[in-house]
Amino acid sequence: MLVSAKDMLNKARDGKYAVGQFNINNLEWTKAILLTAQELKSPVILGVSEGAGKYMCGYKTVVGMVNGMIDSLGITVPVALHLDHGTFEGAKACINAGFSSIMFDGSHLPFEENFAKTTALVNTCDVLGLSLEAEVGAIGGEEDGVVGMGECADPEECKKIADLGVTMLAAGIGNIHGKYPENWPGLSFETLEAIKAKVGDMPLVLHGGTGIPDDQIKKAISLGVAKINVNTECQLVFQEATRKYIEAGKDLEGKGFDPRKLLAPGFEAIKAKVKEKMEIFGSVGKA
Amino acid sequence: MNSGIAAGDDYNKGGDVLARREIGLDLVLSDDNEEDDYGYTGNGRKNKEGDLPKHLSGDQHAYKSAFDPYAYLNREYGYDEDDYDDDTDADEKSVHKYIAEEPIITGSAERTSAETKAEQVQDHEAVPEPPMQDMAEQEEPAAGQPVSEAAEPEKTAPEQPAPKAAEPEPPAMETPKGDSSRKLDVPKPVLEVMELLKAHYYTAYLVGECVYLMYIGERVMDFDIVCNAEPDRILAIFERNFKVRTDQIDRGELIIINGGMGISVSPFRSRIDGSGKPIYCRTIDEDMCRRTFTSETVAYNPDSGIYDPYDGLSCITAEKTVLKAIDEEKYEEIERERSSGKRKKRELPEKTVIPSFQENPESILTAMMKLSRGEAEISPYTLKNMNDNAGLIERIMPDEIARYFRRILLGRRAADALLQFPEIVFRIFPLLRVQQNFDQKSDYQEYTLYEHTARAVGYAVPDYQVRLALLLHAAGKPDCAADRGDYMTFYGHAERGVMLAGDALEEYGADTRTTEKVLFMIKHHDDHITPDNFIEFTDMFGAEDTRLLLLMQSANIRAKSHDELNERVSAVLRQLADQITATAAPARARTKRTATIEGLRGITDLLNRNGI
Repeated sequence: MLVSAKDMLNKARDGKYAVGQFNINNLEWTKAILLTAQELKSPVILGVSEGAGKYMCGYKTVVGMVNGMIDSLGITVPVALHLDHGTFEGAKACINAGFSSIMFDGSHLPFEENFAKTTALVNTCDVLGLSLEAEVGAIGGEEDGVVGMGECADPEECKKIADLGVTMLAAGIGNIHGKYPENWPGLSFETLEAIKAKVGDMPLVLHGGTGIPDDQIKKAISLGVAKINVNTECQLVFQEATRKYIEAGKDLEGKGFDPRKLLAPGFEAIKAKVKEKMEIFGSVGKA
Repeated sequence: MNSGIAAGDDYNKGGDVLARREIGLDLVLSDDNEEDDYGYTGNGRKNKEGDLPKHLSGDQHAYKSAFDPYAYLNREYGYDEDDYDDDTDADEKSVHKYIAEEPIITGSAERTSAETKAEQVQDHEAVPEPPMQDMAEQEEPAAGQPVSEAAEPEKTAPEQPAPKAAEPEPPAMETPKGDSSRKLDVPKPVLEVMELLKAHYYTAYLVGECVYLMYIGERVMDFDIVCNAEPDRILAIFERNFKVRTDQIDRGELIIINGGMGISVSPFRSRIDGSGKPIYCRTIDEDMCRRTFTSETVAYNPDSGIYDPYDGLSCITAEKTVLKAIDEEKYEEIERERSSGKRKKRELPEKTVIPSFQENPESILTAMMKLSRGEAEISPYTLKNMNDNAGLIERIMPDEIARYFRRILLGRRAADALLQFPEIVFRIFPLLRVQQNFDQKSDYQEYTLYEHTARAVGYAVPDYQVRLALLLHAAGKPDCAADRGDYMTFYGHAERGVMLAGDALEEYGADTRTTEKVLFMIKHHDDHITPDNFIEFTDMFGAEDTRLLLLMQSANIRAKSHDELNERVSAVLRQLADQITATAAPARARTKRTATIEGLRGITDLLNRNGI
């Protein structure tokens, strides 16, 4: 059964580790992540962006697939199905479809509008027992065509949104979605500390987990980050493994054209990557 | 005719100086009212001018009466206006003379009662009188002779042997009007009462709700009979053989107990005031035109069938009743003429008001109540006219308004009532007017603020305090609205709402306890109660108040937009409230809080297990 991310994040915050949010794009992704989590006895959050949701024929399909897999794979670790960077409308649609966790990203809106809409969703999610992630200040990177250079959030604004009663808060601390540029100065731990001082116990979320050096991730966890989003890295390893398979001409051998064979190396690569990340985040054995 | 009836009415400026003089007279004469036994006072007569059968009044009459207020009186009774002016004694004398003389005109020939009866039956069967034609005769204003002659073709009806020696004058037997092809199934006890009246040569009809309920085949609880006998005659006829309740005799109404039923028998009345005496009249038509809606003007006589001069049955079907003011079309036409400018404005009253609303403003609230309870729909123009003349309800006593409004709020179609009668609501709660066209510019509020308010009331459980709180919960919003371009903020609106609603409730006359609860709910209507934290809320507010708040919030959320999500949230809150009722209500708030909270913890577990 899908669960809210609230309990797992509170435990992670108290236990000084982080739960990974791995975005899913199709059945192979989902299966790889769930099996790895079960293998490592780690709680896991499956992220779905609105685009991926659309690609997978809508949120209801996603919910159906994930629930079905949890059931037929015998997954017993806590799994949250989480909307990644949702709009207000998308958030409502996902709640209706049966997601157990929502991120409403109002960071591109004027702060007051972000505040008002987050308030409305806090009420809804709390009553329905879902977890809600809010975002303050744009996190850098290309996100819907907006490019930033590792922006940092205003700790005051973070506090205002945190006080609404969201479950977790994503705040820019110089992180970027996608690949990090050569000249990236690294995470701004000063900002992170300032935010943490303002928001108290609130679990923090680090977006753009791809390419942040491991030591910085560990430091961020020690400063209150309890959830780290990983998406691009899985895509990269999947692409790499699939390319190798094709370049080696294996698709031309025997029944190598069978998609179950063609996609298998990518699947294994994702499993390896997820395992690696969970070990870094420290969530192994915490389920 | 729509002037002069309403003393102190400012909705009708059509009547000019003359009309005002008339109002003055009205007020002076009303002092005399108590003197008369049957309400046949000078004042009564004058009022009857206002109650002139509407079908009798030609198009021009509505305006004419403002200038010649006694024309109708003179025509019908041959009295002079001067008779009423100064000398009360003369006035009363003439009234009594009228009563005493009347039967002499009608009861001249000598026959036995058996013969008379036979003849009447024969007469009735042989020459069934087309009711409309009959009325047309009455309508003849140029006739210049007493209507009684025209209306009572059987004026040669013989004297009947008086059943009680004490009562000397036998009444005139009228042929009951109606369409004998349409008969209803009237219970025997009621028929017996009507037969007895008939045996005494009175004409009796069943009227009001019982007729249309029988017509649509519903069960009838209350039967109302009207007849052309005075109350003490009715009493004399029935008291020997029946138990008669006389506690309503001031209104002219007697309750005859027969066959286990209480059957109301009254004289024809052209006016029933809330407090004063009724004004009796002589024909069913006059009685009918005091009624407001066509569905109330269907009468039934077992011999003559259904009498339906205003086509009230067309508004009644088993599915629904449409409340339509008598002569609605006429007033609609007047209004159309005025707005189209076909007729000069000064020829027309400034505002079209259907007179029966003016005479009986309660009928507006009654209509609203029936709509709210799902008993009736309102015909469009009647509805418009009621809203246009919403100010009339200010003539009703505030506590009376509150009584009506309570029932309106508790109806299962309360939202419709609030939305269809906005002007009435704004008269009662003026602070809601600004909400009417208030667009909240919000992604999660689909409706205008007033519509949201009305819907919230409709979605709520039928609890007076909860619904009143919902009606006023957004009172502070317009004041606290800050327009930020694409959206709005309403910081502090709950507190502002408490201030405004407090004043409004005082004006409205809510009792202290209701006010307290309503203000509590308004103050906390945006508080954020969830399955996780509501134990703390019960700690803070007590189980009962938390329950009210949950019920209120549940309805409020559902009214925000038509949305599956809101319904789910609403359902969870409702479920929490119901659980509190089940486990904690007997403890009633704070006394047994420990037990209560144990109960609530159980519920939280339950909800968690169900994944809510």
